[in-house]
Amino acid sequence: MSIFSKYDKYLERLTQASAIGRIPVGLEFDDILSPTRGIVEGKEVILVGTNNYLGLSYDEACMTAAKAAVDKHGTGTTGSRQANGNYAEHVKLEQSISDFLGMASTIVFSTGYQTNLAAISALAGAEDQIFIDADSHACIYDACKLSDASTIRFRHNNPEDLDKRLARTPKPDGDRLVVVEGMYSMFGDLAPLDAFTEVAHKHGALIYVDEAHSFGSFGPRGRGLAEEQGVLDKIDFYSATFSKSLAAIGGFCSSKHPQFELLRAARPYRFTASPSPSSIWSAQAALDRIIEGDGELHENLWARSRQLHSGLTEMGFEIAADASPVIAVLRPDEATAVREWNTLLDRGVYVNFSGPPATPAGISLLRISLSAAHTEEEIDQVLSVFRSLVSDNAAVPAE
Amino acid sequence: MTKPKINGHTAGLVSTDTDDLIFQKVCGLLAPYNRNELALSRSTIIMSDLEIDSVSVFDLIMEVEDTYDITFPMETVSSMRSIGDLVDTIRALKAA
Repeated sequence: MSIFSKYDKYLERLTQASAIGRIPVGLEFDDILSPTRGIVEGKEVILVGTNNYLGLSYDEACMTAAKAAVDKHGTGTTGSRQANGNYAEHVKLEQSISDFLGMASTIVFSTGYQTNLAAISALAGAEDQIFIDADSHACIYDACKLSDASTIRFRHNNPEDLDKRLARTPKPDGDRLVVVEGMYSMFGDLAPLDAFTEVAHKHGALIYVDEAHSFGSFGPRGRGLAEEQGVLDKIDFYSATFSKSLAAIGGFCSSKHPQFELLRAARPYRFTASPSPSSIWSAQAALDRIIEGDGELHENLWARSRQLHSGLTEMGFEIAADASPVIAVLRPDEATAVREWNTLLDRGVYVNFSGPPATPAGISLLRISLSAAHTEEEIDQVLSVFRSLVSDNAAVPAE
Repeated sequence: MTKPKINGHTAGLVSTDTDDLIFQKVCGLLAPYNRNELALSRSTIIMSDLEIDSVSVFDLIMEVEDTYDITFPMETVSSMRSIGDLVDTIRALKAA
């Protein structure tokens, strides 16, 4: 027995995966060429697994902003905002997000993970209760662990189940916080935020929505699934990340409650370095692109999603949800998924392998994320490679 | 393990009259997770003996909540290891 013995099962899985081929967690890109192209083992591959939904990682305005930030303010802030002070750009970005979402307050955090970790754990204390969707992201689970609140899980995307659990559980001395996501990252399925909001407020609970994967790509103005479902003004707390549609790193949480400013006391905010100037400036530039409105980005993202979803469905692959910027191809077991992930890469397509504990119910899948930067021809190529998997029996579509 | 305190009650101090019934019901709920068809007893360690992960345990807990119309906070789960612990906790929550 050693301190590392607790990782024995994980090691066993890695060993099994390495017997099949490359290990997904160990993949190294020789180079990244564009939002949709990279080089692996000397060969160009199409990237359909990078969460680069709007394809802004190589956007001229965003890159210019990031370079200008380095020229003006250097490479890092070298400390927390409490210790080293606020850069004007941190404050400006927070105000821009508040204005865009119609919220009273916004706090920027250093990563998306830290956003939920800080906001949820600092909002809910020992006298409070948190109700979370069973398929919540790891950062939401970790936030609940970090908070002193009592945490109750409800069935995924099921407002009736939430209603039942809120009714069944004795009210606490403090408050109740319901936490859901917009688009779920693994399956690409969408939360009925309108119904969740109604149920939460019926029971006097506050609602917290994580739009990490839906900010920018949903809603008439890109303000997420809450906007698309007409409940943005009813959301108490709204979080998202800079590392997906905004193609930087960092995250934010906004609230219609002005007292939310008090959460700058949260430990994951106070005791970590603030986002670097280049991240903040490029996130601001990407946000400005969304605020100005670029219908073409939005239209292309969704057109590519529908193209890929219908193509894979016609081949007989089972997809976890309707067409969305995330398309999850269900596979029968981990060994099959890892083998196919390797074959896809050999044939020039990079997707994500996803398995437990990141996926619900122990499911293994080939996870694809679309980008507005993908061309119709690139998605045709991706489909062609999936078709080759089927035709050469490298894959057997799920029954 | 330290007996969990739930709503002021300490698990294991309530009448044991229904223990067998609770145990039988829990075994029924565990059946889909018992892939190796292990003989279950109060001392069976849920995660290691049944080789199930923490997410499956939380899914099982949701079934338990619905079966007994109780709320089983997640922080309570971490202090439970065996089927006996689970039975004791259900009994305490029902009595609360």
